[in-house]
Amino acid sequence: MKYSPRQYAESLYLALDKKSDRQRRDLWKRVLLLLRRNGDMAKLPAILRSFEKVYLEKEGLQKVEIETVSPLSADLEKEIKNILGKKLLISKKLNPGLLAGLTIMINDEILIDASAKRQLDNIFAAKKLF
Amino acid sequence: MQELIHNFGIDWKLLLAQMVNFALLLFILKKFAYGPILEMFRKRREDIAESLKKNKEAEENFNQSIRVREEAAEKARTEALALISQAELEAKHRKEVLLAEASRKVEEVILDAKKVIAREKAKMGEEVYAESEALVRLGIEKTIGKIPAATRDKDFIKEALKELKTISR
Repeated sequence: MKYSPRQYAESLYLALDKKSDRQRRDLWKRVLLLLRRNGDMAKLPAILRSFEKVYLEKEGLQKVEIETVSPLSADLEKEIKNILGKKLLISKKLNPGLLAGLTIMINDEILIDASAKRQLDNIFAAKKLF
Repeated sequence: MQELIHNFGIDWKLLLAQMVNFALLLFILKKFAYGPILEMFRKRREDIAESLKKNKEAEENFNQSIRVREEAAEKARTEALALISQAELEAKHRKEVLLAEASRKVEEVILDAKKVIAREKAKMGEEVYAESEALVRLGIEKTIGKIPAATRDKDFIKEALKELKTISR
């Protein structure tokens, strides 16, 4: 029987829950052996993506990726947390290519692009229409 | 009567002998001279008539051949004229076709040239635009880079937070 990446991810989440670090490492090894036996090794990247989603859903977390030109200030991070309200899994990244401002990606689905690069791109894209 | 004959000096015997001589001479002449001469004349006449007939036939043949030759020449001339006329028509038609073809090709070349020019113009415009855009971008980036981070990011942060609030509602 074939399993979808989502089914693998949900099973993996349940199996990893409340396990010690050593038990988790052993479990990962067994999962890899299982995937090889089932001929599903090619599904591994999709399974990991699904696992991340399942983990965030089950834990009630929001994944927030923030890219800024200068290091994110503590005040701004706090303000973002206050607005979003839930438990957040924040990752921060510096990106000088933005020129100014920042981007916020929520759960790989919603992108808030408040950067000078986006504004410039919009201006030049609009000019090309003429 | 007897006397009259005697006066004329006619001697019956001599006359008879002369008559016999004459008859003999006549017979000999007719047999060996007059007959062959007449025959020769007849043959000669026939030969002349035959010659005249042949001559006439030859003349007729000659005239006929002249007529045939003239008719053939006339026919050839007519056919030649028709051929020339046909050739002229075909040449005219061919000329028109060639002219039309040449005209079409010229139009195609002009159209292609116009397309190439338009394409090159657009390409040039795009290149100029891209170069200008790069220059403007570079200028803006350098200008933005010189602004202090707090001032530079202020409005963008405000915009991001506003949007974030809208989403989280």
